[in-house]
Amino acid sequence: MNPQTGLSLDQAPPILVPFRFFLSAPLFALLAALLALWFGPSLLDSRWQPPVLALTHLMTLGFLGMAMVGAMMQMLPVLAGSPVARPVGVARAVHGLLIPGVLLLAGGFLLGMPLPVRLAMALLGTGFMIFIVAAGLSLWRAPSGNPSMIGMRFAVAGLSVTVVLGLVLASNTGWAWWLTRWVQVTNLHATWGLLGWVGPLVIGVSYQVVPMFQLTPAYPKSMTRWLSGMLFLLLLLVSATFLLPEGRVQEPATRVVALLIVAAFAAFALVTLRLQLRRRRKQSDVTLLFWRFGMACLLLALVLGLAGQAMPAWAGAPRADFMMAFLFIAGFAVSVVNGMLYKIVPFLIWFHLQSLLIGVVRVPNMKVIMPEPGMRRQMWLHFAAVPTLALSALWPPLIYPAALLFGTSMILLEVNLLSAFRIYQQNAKLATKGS
Amino acid sequence: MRREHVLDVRELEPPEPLERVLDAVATLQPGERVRMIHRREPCLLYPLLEKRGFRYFAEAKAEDLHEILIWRKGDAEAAPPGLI
Repeated sequence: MNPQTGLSLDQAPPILVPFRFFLSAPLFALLAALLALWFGPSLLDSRWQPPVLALTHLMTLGFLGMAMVGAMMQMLPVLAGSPVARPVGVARAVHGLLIPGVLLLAGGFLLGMPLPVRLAMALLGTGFMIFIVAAGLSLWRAPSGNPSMIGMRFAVAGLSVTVVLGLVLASNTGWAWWLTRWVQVTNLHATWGLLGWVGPLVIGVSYQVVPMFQLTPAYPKSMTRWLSGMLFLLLLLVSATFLLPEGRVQEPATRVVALLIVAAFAAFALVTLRLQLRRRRKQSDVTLLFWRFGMACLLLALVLGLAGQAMPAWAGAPRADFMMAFLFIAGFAVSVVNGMLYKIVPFLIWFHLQSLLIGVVRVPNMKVIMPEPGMRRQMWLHFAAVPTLALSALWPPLIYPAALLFGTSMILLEVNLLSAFRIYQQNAKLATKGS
Repeated sequence: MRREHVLDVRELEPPEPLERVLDAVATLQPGERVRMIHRREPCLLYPLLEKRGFRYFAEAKAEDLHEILIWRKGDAEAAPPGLI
């Protein structure tokens, strides 16, 4: 192998490229928790209420969107060897557009005002377009053999579909035109967002991050080669069933495709749990526990989805959707992202300090950058928040303790990330003094 | 005479492999090099080595077995033939 094929420091993006996203993410989840405290149990009356729409988008666009965009900006050069062009400019623009975009969208939903929604459409549409083009070009140039790359390509395609459907729905709110199949398009938008963007990105990133950080064997080739593509194809089929006339054909067709999607995600969760049992290092750490918890929540959400297929009475229950969404978004996606942040944030700080502090001082250890007790406290709060949230679907007053636990956990996450970043800043100052 | 320090980091969690190898190369004497054995290619190590004045040669022996030779720039005795 040629010695010059490695990553150069110019290719590794500056630390603020991913960090501006990572440090913003928990604040949106905190806002969502505050909204839940403000509106209380009435939130669980129907998923179509404006505060529910606001809360959902604070979580999906605000927390998950921010963390995932930041992670991709960092991982493309490291995992794919194909950096995003002009990373600083792209990160600034995307971050600067998404933040007001998410706030205006949530505000527009809450206040029932069309103008903020229209503005949010322009901001979010432009922000995501810049990200999709930048990440898409980088993925296009990346060598194709890498399974994580395949997963990320499908995830970016899934994000594009989600954004287009989201813009159609938002335009309906912003200009009050009558979208006849509003419910179906909303379901399709949520399906693509959660199962076409969040899911495949987590899967693609896991292929690299789980063996690398948790010292497990590699994922089986049969899975890394086919799963992401198969999921994408299944989502296309789900979309096609929406075009079928409602009734005798559409219902069984949707059911079969939904079952296959459930099977694909269940296979991923079970294989991940099994690999973690076979890891080389036996002591557990916070990231491992977050991932296990996330996989368990994913499996539970899938079981609920299956129950909905088998027992239409359950699927029709007003709060079945809430329980599934809480388990998938807060239980699976937030846990996995949270666990991953606890590995990549201290690692990136350590890495950037290594190149800054040559011959100045010794770089602090990862455990000093992100101390274990602080992470554990936040983890336990999160592990208490998720079941409480899920149970609030059965007994709505539980939304109060659930939102309190979740909000506190997000404050602690932000504190932990900021403390680590402060260590970076303090040491980076030494480097400027030293040179 | 050329001496080689073998450093097997396959059982270590990031960033320990990088920490260990940076410590190891810092003490290299003329004619000495490090052979790092890793489960994956340590892409992020390379810029850190370059900045510290080292050269490297990476070889994938298997999908989960990578060997990286590291020596000080200009140390002809430690470098593999044809690479200084």
